[in-house]
Amino acid sequence: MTDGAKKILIVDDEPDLGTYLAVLLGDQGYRTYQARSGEEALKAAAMFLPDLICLDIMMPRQSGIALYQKLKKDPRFRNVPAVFISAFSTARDFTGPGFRKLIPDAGVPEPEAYIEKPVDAARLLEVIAGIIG
Amino acid sequence: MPETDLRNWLHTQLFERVPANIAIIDRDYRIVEANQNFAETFGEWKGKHCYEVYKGRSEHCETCPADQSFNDGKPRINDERGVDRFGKESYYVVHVEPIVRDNGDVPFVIEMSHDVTETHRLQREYGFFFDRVPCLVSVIDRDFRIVRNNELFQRTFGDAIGKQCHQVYAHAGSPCPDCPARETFADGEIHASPLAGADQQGKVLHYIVTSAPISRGEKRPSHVIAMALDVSRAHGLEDQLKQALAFQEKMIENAIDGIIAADAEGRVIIFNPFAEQLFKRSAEEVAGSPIADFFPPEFADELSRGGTSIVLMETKVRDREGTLIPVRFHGVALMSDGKRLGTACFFRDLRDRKKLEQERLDAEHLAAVVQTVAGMAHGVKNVLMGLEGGMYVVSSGLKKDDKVLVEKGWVMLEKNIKRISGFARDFLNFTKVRQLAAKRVDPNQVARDVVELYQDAAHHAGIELRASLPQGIAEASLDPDGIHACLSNLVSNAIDACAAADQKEGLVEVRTRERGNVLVYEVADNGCGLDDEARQKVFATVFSTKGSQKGTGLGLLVTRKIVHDHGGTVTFESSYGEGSLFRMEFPRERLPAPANSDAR
Repeated sequence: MTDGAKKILIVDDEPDLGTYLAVLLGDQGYRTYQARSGEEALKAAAMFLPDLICLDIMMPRQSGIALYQKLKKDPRFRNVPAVFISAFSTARDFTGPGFRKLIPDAGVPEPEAYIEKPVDAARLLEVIAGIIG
Repeated sequence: MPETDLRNWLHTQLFERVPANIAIIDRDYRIVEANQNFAETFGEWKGKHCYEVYKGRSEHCETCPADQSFNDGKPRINDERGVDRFGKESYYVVHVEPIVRDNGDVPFVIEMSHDVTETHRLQREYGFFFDRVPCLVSVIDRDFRIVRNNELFQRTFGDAIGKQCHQVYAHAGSPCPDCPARETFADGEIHASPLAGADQQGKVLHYIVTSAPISRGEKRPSHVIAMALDVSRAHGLEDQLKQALAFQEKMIENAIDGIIAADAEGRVIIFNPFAEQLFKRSAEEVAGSPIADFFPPEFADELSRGGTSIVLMETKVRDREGTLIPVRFHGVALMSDGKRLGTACFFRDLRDRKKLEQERLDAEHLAAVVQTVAGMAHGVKNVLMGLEGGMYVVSSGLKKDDKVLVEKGWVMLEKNIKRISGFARDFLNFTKVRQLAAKRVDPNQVARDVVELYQDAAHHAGIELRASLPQGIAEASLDPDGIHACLSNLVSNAIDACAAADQKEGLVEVRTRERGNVLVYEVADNGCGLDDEARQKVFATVFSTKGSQKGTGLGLLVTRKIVHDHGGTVTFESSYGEGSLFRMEFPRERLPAPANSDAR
């Protein structure tokens, strides 16, 4: 871990997954920050200024979708790439017309990537490396 | 009486006693003598002229029969109209008899008058009726020629005098086959028969013609009076009635209900095609048999109690082969003025509906299974994720010799292994309820058991758990273990929801209710509630808001499946931050039958 390390914000209300991702990504030299709710994630994003956000799409209090919309409407985070992690939906729901059904607002772009649970660690790392190096 | 006395009486009395009005008039038209009858009819006469007394005139009449008799010395008979002493118009026949002297002079005439006012009135009335009676009246001679007819006859057929009646009535060249006039001519009796004809515009008419003899005692009458009553309108009504009956018959024939009707004696007179299909019997074979063979005993009971109608939403009848067929039954005793005219029974075959209902339940059931299985796969993914994560964290910790990390990973593994046992339990529930063990139970008892079971847990979490179970909820055929599992799931969810909303005092209430014929269970909480996204996913698939420490997300799916297996539905209302209400509704007629050992 160096000061030049890329920073990743992990938003997940399941501590297990959060911990797993934090350890996994930490082992690859990324700096990580775990947020356990949407509110916490917005605060953390402002302080931590991440290079990428890993977002669980099934959070109970504030839906991951709502959080994603807020982030993308905020000029500070607008260009921060996002990776969705979900056990719920398939890729179809997060790309093309499926995504527009979820978020009709054309101002909100599709996420950079979507990873289905259970997370294939190698694939996740590959995707993240592809986005932020 | 001696002859002299007789003469005497004739001289003195006859004049007074004769039943006629007699007056003697001189050549100046003065009444010089009159009898008592005359005075009674025309009033005071002494010193008056005849025209004054007879007619109330001041001058003598233009044509005067007395005048003529004075001139030619001959007697006359005249019809006269005058006024009586009350000023009332009267008719009389006057005999004028001149008293002729030997020298041929006629100094007086005797006028003998008879009041014929009554006869005149009768004649006039007869004429009036003849013309105005609202039927076609004609007088026909033995050649069937019309010699007289009334106004309506004239209007209907035009000029008919001298024509033969069949020409007029029916535009026919020879007498009508059922001509009543011919029969009357033959036997002198009154006859009547229906005849069809046409008016002068050619419009078809239907009559009932009555003919009566006009005779003065001869055996064979010289004329008959024919009275034709136009019944075309009645005929039209009859046609309409026939049409209405035919329409009704068609309706019964083509009804989608089985219809059986019986006469006052209870013998079958209507057995429509659908009834034939339902009972597998033909209308011919059952005609006249007792209708009671076909309707359910409840209707017989109702009738014997004096009832007239019964509706059985679902009952069973037997067809020819003895197969029981589920039907909706409607029985009616057809009454009029307290007398039974007949009985009608309507049967709606419920087999198709039952089949559809079963198919729908099967489809719902299948959908629930598919969703549950799909949901389970997702649930398993989460557990796998936890296990995989735990293993990774343990091995990463071991590699880095980081005891804290190893510990963290170990906890993850433990938790997820626990989740697997939770899954195993829910899977078991899910498979166990494949077959319901329904029996008749008190719905409130199941709710009471669950509330008791969770009382400690609720108390521990600082949440009030209470029950509102009204009296008088009837027993129901339920799988008590299944319903117990459902309520347990809902109550445990509600307690968790209250615990998650830790800022207020938690309250969970379990309620039962009877609404119409529907048994209702409700579990309400004032906990955290569900947001929009969560609301949409409650039953969509395996769903848990509780994080991986708790809940497999299978609970609600299992609940829904059990409720569906009971023919019921589960719904919910929820407001984010305010609480949720989950409701299970069981229409009683859809509940499963109690298992055999428990059957009533």
